[in-house]
Amino acid sequence: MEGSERLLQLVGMAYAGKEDCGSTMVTPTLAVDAALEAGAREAAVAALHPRQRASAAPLEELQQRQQRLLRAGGEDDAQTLGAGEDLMEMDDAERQSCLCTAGAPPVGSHAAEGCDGECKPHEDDVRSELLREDAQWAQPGEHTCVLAKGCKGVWCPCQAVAADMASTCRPAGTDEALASSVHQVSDEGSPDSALKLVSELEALLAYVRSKPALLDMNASFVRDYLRTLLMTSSARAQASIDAHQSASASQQLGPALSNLPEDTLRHVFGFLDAASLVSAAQVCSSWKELGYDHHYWRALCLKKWRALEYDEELWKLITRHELALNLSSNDRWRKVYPLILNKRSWTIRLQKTGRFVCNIHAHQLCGRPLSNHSMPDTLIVERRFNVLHLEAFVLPESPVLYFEPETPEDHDGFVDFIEYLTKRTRAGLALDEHRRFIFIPPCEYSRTNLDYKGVSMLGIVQHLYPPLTSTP
Amino acid sequence: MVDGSEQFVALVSSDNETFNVERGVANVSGLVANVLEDVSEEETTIPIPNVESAILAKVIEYCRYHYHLQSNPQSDEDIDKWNKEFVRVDKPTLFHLILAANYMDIQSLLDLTCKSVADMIKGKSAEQIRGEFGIVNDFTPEEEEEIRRENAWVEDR
Repeated sequence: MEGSERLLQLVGMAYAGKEDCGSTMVTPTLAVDAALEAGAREAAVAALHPRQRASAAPLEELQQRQQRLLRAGGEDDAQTLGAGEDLMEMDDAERQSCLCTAGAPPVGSHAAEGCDGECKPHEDDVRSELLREDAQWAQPGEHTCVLAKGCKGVWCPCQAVAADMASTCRPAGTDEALASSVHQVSDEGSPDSALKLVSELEALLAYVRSKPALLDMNASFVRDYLRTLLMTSSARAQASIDAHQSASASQQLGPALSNLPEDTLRHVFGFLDAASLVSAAQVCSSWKELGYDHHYWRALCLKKWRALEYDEELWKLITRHELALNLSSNDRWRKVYPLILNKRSWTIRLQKTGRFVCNIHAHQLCGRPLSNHSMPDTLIVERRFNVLHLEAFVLPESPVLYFEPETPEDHDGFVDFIEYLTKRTRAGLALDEHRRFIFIPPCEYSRTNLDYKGVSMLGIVQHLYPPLTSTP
Repeated sequence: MVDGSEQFVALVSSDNETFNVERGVANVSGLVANVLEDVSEEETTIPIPNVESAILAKVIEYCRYHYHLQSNPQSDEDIDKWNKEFVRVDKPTLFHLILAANYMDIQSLLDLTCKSVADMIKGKSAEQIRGEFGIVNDFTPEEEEEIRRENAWVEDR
């Protein structure tokens, strides 16, 4: 088990690492060195129990890893699938090599190639399968037994049983089965990636042959074990490739929504209302990230209440009962939205006596809810009084409004009006049948817990009010 | 722009189909307009390698309609109706149109198509959205519960 795991790990590292450092020689060969040490023991054990090999743990692990590679998304998947599709571009030998490389057991083919030693009867097979194209590699006697390195002096029993195993290990019809399985693989292909795999293999083989110490060892059982592994793996690989292709065939009609570039999906989300954004955020984790993006919530908030963009004091007024809300985080937009969602607002013409000031939005901040139709279209500020008298005039339960200019055009008039009140430390007063409206510029006043010092203006609506005792 | 409508530009799709299009119509695409800025007034061929012919044909239909609105204005209702009809296509086509609009830099078409996808999301539960677009739920039950709790205000309304 351990050895097999290490082997897989090393091979995985070799392939992952190679991508990074761009080396075609060093990493794979190092991995082969180490992997073989670890793997030979496993292989030998498996060889000792030929009937159990099919269900042996190392084999299953290799296969599982291969399946994972095939099913995994992203580059792994594309690479593996690509390798599968490449197979039709090659002759049988290359196919065999690449099936190895595409899935889990890249070492398999290298070791199989290296298994020379006493298994002379197979030497030609091996050579013709793996080296048919390249005469310079096919020099007889040059083959080396890679796995012997792991066996030598460490696992002597291997050699003792090797002769027996040689006759039983090799499954009948391996080549035929392999050939027929690879022939069924898709005929799409990209020669580039096939060539790359072949060249990787060549590099490994060259390394293996360059080690004299690996010569003349008997490890045919290992070759046979790996051959079985290869066959099973390639059949599985093919099944996975086929399954993958039929699954993706239905999607080939067009890209899925989740395949759209993130920018465009963002654009889509920009058209969602708040409730739909919340539903979308519950779809999956990547949609949650998008759906919780503060840009959307900021836009939704500002559509309702523009002053949230510039008036920090307003945030304090709205969230003063929300102790958990962190006003410095981007999340605050999404968190404040429910708080302003049901707040009523109106558009009102603001006038001084005989003169139009500006149009304002009035949002109700707190107090007894005002009905939708309860606000006048026009408020005329007829009188002013010193803000020091606010304590006497304002009842604590009165509904409080927050005013902001309706459009950018209203901004100047609005600011002028606030300045006019502030300079004189005056509050404004407008009357509407049985109610009065008090306009409070930013000031120290805090009778109802509203010590507002922001940039805008508050309004207080009074249905019942004490008589004015003092007017300037 | 109207003067240029006499001249033609050849747009070549990814599958090598050529569409001869009035210069003004082609100019609705920011990508094409950019290329045309740099070339002479003579007939020009512009490859659109990311867009296949069926989709490019739709895109050109869109550009042509919206280009001719300049000289032949329509009511907003009519334009809206035309646009709605234009995006009444199957989902794969719609997604291809989004990609094409994005690539060819046609903001109004990108808005139209993305809005159309947004309309498919609107008013649906998370489960319905997953079904509509074949998305797999990758939340743990705990995570799901947390999002639900965080957004309970939507149901409270």
